[in-house]
Amino acid sequence: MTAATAPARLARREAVLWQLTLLEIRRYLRHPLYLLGVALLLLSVAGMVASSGSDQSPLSAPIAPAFLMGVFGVVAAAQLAASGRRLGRGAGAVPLPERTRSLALAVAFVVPVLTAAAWLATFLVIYHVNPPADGVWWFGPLSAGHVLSMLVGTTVVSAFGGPALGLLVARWVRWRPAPLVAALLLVVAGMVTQGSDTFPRTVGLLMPWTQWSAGVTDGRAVYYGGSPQWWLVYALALCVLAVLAAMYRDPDADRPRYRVAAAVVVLIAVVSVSLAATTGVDHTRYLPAATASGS
Amino acid sequence: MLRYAAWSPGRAQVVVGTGLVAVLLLGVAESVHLWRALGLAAAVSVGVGAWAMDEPSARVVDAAPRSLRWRTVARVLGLAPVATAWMVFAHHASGQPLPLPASGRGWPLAATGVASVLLGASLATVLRRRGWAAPGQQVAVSVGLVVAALGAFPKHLWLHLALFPIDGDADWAWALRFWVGALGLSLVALVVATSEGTQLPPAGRSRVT
Repeated sequence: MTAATAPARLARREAVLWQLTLLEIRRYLRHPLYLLGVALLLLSVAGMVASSGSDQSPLSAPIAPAFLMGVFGVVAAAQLAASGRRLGRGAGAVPLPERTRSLALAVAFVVPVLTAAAWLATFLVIYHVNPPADGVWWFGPLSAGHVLSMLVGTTVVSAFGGPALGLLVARWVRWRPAPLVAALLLVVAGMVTQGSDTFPRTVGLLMPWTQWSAGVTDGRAVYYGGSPQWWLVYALALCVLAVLAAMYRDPDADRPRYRVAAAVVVLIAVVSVSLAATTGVDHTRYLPAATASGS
Repeated sequence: MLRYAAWSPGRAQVVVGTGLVAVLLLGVAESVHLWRALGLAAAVSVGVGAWAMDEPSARVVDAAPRSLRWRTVARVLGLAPVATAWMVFAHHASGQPLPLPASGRGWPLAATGVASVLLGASLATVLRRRGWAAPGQQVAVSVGLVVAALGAFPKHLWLHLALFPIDGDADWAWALRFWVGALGLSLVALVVATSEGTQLPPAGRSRVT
């Protein structure tokens, strides 16, 4: 009898997870912070349209989706996780295990991810159709794979990483301002370590968001060292690790399995960040501002 | 009133917030590299201003004889440490030699600090008036994060909303006008929201805890 009902139970569990995921997606779409982030992203798209082809460099523009979907997402996801828990507590016995709710919320992070992806696609289309003017800081002679890894890692992956951190904070810390403090620390850490003369590049690469390029005042673009392809793997590993750590806290978690999975992901993260620091561009490069056709 | 301000429920937030703002402003004053933290300091100030207006015992206190205006004035006075941190920073930074972007810009910096604190306080007070007992966190989160975002990448937004003129060619006069306007609007909102005769629509859901 058990063997006969097991597939049915599994199918039912999957159906419940899917329904819960749809519910979490709707909640994420309606969250005020997500809507504020989208509004500001639209302002940044309008800024791109207005400044494309001009003498303003878009090199640092990827910070917009990283901040608006990632940093805002830390707080939004934490609030969604906390309100879900409050609802469960208010309802008494909840038929769904908390790990299912965590998983559904993690899948709902597809909302900020797709939003950031849409922003990135718009960015690429705008600057393909109307490239920056001659002499503007741009990606120079870097390969397409290099540039795409930089852009995807610092926009789309950050849009998942921020909410994943929010879920992690919500599951482990019951202090109300904790998500806001986490968001603040994330921003401060980024400001202090990125493009800094104080910290070595390795520290910058260890952060969950890293800056790959900037402009300098004498008309050259600066590209920081490292391999963005390997850093992309590292950032993805951090995202998976955050979700695993959040689910580990759930009362009904399958902890032995999570420990093994986390160990594997930590290993991947260590190897990939080591490779990110030791391969790719081996030092900070200063390139003359490329012409649009040279990009 | 001063005793109430010193012992109001929001004092812990004010102490922690003042420390955070002071650390961020110290970083800004010491390193050109950290100039983007100016927006973060303003965001924290918005958050502190809002959080300090929370009234966990609203159901009891709002029925007491002391008016919302009296309590709001006391709590705004309690925000003096945050405003003082900004004043000290503005005075220090305006006397710095170039190339610090704030050289000679004491007034815009002072206006930024005072306006951001009052912006948070006034928004939270309006929500308090609408029956929300503890709106501080929501105001801190939404308005604070938007202010931080505007500080992080002003150049990449339409119209270059340079609330924090980080780059050399940024428009300090525009920033000064914006923050003085925000300061004025915040003061008007505080007066209107705490006026006995003002009728504001209640918040959509009961927020009294």
